[in-house]
Amino acid sequence: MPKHEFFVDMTCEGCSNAVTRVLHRLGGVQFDIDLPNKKVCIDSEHNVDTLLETLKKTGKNASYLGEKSAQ
Amino acid sequence: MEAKSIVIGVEGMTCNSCVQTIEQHVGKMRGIHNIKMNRCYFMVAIGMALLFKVSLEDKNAVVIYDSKLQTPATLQEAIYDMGFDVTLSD
Repeated sequence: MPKHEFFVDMTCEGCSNAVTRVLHRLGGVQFDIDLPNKKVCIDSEHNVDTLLETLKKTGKNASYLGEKSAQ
Repeated sequence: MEAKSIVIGVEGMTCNSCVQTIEQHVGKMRGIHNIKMNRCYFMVAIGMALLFKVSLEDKNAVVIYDSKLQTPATLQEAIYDMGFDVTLSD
């Protein structure tokens, strides 16, 4: 599954919880949230637009950083 | 225009940026006259006197809206969509 990396302007745990919830509601995603660096790494079949749209629902500004190479 | 007010319990707000995000997001929706808290106030003054008040401890927001344009369900859904848990307590 492609692994995408996004920037999401999260400032606290509450914000990262909101991101967690919206992604759970979308479903079909595996993700990990790096709060200090404001990054969200998502493994999913969904296309980038859907993922970005979902992240933007939290009201935070979000942008696509690119595909993450498998480390 | 029939203004109604409703109290929506919002779970999961831990910092004021969550508070502001909800205020701005809900505040921009059609038919929303005011979104504020009933007990303790946390005045957000951005430029002109913007009377949006949401309090962290109280964790709920009182929304005054035009009942023709919004319903309790749409308001609840708007905040729910943002990733917060919502309880209706009117």
